[in-house]
Amino acid sequence: MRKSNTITFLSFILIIIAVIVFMSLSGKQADAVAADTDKGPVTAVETEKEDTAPPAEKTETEGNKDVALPAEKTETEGNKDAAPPAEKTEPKKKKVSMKDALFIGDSRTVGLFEYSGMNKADYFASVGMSVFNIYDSEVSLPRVGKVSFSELLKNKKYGKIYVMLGINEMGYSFDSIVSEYKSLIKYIRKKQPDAVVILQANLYVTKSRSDSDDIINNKKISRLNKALESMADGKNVFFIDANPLFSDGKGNLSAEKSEDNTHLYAKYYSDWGKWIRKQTGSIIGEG
Amino acid sequence: MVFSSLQFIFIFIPAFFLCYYLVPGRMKNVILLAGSLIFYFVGTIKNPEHLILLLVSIMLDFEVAILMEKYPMWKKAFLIVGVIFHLLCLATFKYSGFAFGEMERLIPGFHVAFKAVLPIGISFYTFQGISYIADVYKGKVRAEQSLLRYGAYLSMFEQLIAGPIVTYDQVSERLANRTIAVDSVISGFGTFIFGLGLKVLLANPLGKMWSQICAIGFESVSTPLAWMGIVAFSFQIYFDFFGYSLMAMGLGKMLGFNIPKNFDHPYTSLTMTEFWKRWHITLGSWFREYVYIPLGGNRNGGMATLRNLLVVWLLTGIWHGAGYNFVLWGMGLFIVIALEKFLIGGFLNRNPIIGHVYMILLIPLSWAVFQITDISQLQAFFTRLFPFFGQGVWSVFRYDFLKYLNLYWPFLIAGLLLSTKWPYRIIGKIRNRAVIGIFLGVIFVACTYCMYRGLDDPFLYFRF
Repeated sequence: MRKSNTITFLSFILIIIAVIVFMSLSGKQADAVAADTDKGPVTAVETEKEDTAPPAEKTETEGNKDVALPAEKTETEGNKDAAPPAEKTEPKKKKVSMKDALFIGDSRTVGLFEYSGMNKADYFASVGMSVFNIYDSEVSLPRVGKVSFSELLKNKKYGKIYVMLGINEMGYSFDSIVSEYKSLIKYIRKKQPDAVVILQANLYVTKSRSDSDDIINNKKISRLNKALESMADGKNVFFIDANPLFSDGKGNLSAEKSEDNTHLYAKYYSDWGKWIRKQTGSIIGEG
Repeated sequence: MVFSSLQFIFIFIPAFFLCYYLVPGRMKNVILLAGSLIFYFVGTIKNPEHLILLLVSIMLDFEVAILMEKYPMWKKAFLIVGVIFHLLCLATFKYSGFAFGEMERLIPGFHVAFKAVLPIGISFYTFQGISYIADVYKGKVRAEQSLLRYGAYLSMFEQLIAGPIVTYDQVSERLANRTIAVDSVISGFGTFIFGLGLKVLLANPLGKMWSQICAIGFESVSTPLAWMGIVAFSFQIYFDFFGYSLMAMGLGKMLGFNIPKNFDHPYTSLTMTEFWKRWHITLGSWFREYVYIPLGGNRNGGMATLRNLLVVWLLTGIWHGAGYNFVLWGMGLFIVIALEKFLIGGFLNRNPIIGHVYMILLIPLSWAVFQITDISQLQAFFTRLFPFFGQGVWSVFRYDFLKYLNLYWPFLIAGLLLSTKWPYRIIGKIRNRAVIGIFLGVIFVACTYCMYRGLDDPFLYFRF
């Protein structure tokens, strides 16, 4: 027994020494900087992990006392990316009607549908929607029924079409995303020549997600948003960026505004909705 | 490495059991120890020092027990050393983060730059270590003379990281000498698959529903959705842990051990007292054996019993996590159990319908306190569960509960059915091996598919 115990004891000591050596070697390797490369097509895993249900939000009329409303304050702080803010001395204007609005997007747009209070608009949105699969997607819309994208654009005339896509595409090459996006805008313009197309910047994710995710991080989101901004011509295609409303001031989604590091809490969607109306008003000269 | 992973099922299990079954009897403990240490190392590869801690715990327990028997005059001192070592490990790795955080918050200028990562399984193996040296102290078991066998006991992979909390006497005989029948291996693997199914096919989807509700933000969910959510969480935590315990039992059988049952249909209980005799049975036994009874149990009158119960339930609360909500949770359980013991328990047991309704309300509410660690979030959630003031029943998204009911109703119904005894009685009556084989085969294929698609979530109890 003593001999076997000695062998076992020595084995444990050897394992401990091996672990210490392993730790010191790992520590040296961790100092190397990881390269940021474009990876291949996103796997189902990444899409599944990213697309959780959208958060909810209180209505504009419910007097949301809990939430600081950064929208007004942030816009006047000189947000270069957003449309020009309203003048303080302007008389109260009519709310921009969303009856002729169509929102196209992924889970964040589903969140706008469920919690923004813009109930008269149509929403062609689903968790997992991307510029690559939009043409094959079918969505059930209230007042319209289950339709494909082409059917929807054929059967109903819109005054404003909002597009917010990009997160689900992050695993694809940047050039292919931009190219598909441009094709999508062209497609929409062709089907709805009278509508104003408003591209929305993708919202950042929180710092903790961004720092730990090679595929979906704020560096890549920011790069895509810049490309989207360059697609706006200021005549028929516009770009708006709600990130300043919800960011931590350092290019990340504020950690306090999200539970899952990716989606806003529902209560912020009404602020977003109000802000969208305001930006739209400035763009089309209404409101 | 988690049990519900492709890595564990398709690499570790075949490789380990091939070696284990091929080697002669006396070498099996070597393979078991080596395999368990590899299992633990792979699981803690980002913090390899945790393996060192486990090895040190093994060596210290072994030596303390030997010394207690060699120098009986000093056995109390050795017991204290052993217990303090384990408690210090827990304090350092599990509670120091919370304690320092609170001190920083309350004491201006106070700052400690120490951040410990919780070693996986520490709450389980420290309790096993304490139970071993306490049992040797009491003379309940003889000190293990083989470091290899003790190492195999404390580290055996099937119960290392998430229990059940196996006491030494439950496995000591078979550690020394065991035969493994083919029938046991097959039956053990079947139990493992069934547990895997409960975890991957039921607990994980319901857990996803709960995460989605958390992502919405409690202030924005309707009352029906809030109740649906906490019920989903109640099912998630049960089938997660029950599934994992079944997997441990199944693997134990394949190894030649009888790992004790950890769950006995807890959601069929009529009182909270009964619930905690059916839920995480080995934890309850541990606290009874090593805290409640040494304190005097219920032998010294009502006040002493209350005091002992309070100690047990506060410790149970903080064993589950370092946070004020766990203290609140433990305190809540104490109040309910004390009330049942001295006032309402008898009535509930005599009136089963009332008992069931009582527990159907109390179980999800107690899990809400357990799971929501932020007190203000907990408050927000309770105002949604009981919307008598302010916001009202509905949320902005008027039909939010219908959306989630539409997505998750099969899992909610399955959860309800599998919380009762009926499905298990039906399965237990099936004698046709082909039918059982097909049933388990379908579960296994479905689980493999889900794991491949990345639909496996970390087990809730792993933060312990």
